[in-house]
Amino acid sequence: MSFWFAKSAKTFKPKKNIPEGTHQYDLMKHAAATLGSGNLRLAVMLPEGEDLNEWIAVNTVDFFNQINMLYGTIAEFCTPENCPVMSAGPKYEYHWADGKAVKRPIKCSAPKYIDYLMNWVQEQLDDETMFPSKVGIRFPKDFLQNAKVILKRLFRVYAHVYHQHFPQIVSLGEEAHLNTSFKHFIYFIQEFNLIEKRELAPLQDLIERLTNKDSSRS
Amino acid sequence: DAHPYKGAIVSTEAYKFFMEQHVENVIKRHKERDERRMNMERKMAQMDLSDEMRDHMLQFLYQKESMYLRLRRAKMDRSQFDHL
Ligand SMILES: [Zn+2]
Repeated sequence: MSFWFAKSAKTFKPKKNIPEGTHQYDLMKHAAATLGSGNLRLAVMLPEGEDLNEWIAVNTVDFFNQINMLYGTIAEFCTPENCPVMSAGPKYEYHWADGKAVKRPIKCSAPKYIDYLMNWVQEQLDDETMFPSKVGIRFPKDFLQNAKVILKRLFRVYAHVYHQHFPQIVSLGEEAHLNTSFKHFIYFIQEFNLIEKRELAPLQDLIERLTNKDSSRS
Repeated sequence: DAHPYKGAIVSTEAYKFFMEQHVENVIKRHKERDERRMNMERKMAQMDLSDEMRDHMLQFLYQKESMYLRLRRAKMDRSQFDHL
């Protein structure tokens, strides 16, 4: 399974020596509103007696649906002209490869990348051998490794939306909804250690702010 | 020219409504699941049960909860296609 990571590692290209502080990013730094939401930190924990894979599966489908809807609200702004590359701020750029059908990373526009990504995730979720939906069928041995790849890729959609489309999110009044969705996602991946820290770098400041705010309140 | 993204365009209102309901449901499901387990433990404490029997009853509850998660996931996949 290290195959998956080795392949996808090449699709992630941190660019060095570019100053932070695009307008979008500054805006994002100052808006950390969330929905009044009870304790999501507790709600992500594995319920007593539950199978870890079952819990990760149901949550992964949940996050996929949320991200699908989120992107659907700003897709009209995310055009090949506005977003000629799939980026998360000036420092990070993603090229598409899935390690199977597309082995050599493709440099493409953000909407094309996200189309590839969401279709690829949908295929994984629909694969009965990977995400069994019938009662009594077990998860495959490599389920957790595959779920990690799915979540790592879904994170990139959040990263792109935050870095490139936050002004539109604010003008649509969606920032509290997006922040809540993302905070839930981060709590979840932190609880089970599902995404490597370097993959989270494009939103590291936001992650710290969103998750610290809560721990100081409770 | 067609937009490269072939997924659905979603209205802001639909997304906001979905997220508000969703977060409420996450919290509610968490609470209710906790309550079901605590109720079961309270009931068992009132009965004079062997450790083996208590364990058996808890396992039965856990299995039911797990099955409920799987059925919910199967349903989510389908509803996904409905609104696309
Ligand atoms: Zn874009």
